[in-house]
Amino acid sequence: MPDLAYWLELHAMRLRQGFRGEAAYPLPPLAFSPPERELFQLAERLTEALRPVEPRPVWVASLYERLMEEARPPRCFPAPSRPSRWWLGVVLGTAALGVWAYRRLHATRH
Amino acid sequence: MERARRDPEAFGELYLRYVRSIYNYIFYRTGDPEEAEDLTSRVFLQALQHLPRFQERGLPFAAWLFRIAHNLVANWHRDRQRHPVLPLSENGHDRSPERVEAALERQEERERLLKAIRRLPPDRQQLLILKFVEGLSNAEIARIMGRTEGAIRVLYHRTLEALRKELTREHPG
Repeated sequence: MPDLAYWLELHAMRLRQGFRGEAAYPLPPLAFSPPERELFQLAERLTEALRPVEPRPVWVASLYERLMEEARPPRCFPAPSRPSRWWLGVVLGTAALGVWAYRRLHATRH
Repeated sequence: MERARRDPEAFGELYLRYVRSIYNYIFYRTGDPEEAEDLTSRVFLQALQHLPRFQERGLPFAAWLFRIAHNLVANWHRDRQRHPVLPLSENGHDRSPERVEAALERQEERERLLKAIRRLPPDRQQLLILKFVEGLSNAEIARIMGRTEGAIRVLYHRTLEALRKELTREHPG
């Protein structure tokens, strides 16, 4: 004889299939003791109480957007290319040379 | 799953497949639709953040999501015990007086049962939600909870016993 856990499992399967009351019992109810029958009745109450709820579609959509935003790779500014670095060096070098020449000229006049 | 690591659209597909299940799980664990939205958002943001570290070592993606949800709900309960808040309304939605009166008795019965469920240990709550709300088989529940099918069957029996005791303790006789 299978144990009560086995019969409760069969009962839960029948509840999922839509059976209710005595029709959901795996054996005639009188085959079980009154405390055991209470467990079958409790399982049926759970079926009625624990029904799926639908989240708000607006919230589902807004979270989807947020996740997609987070999932996209971050935007980076392009790194300066080699020629532009070279030109930057030329400009800074020329400026530094100019300052040096100006100061030297200024110093010799005084 | 592999594609989801590189492709945001693939992660979006996983989100759409599991958002309802995770929302339901959190809704029944907290009993609050607003908290369910907030915590569900956090589950998916955490999953996205830790996606590169996720490896399918026999643990399906759904099980991983439920574990994140389980931990977040546990933290939420711990924080609420430290800083209790009074609910403004039972379900967060306004109803006309006629509808409230008609549904009151059934609603009270349901609330009493749901409150008793929330007093059970977390693993038993999880089992009931996966079994009744999600309609999962014992094999699927076993994978999510990291137990054997036989252990789930026994846990279900013990959970019903514990719930009956909880309801009797609340309303003896």
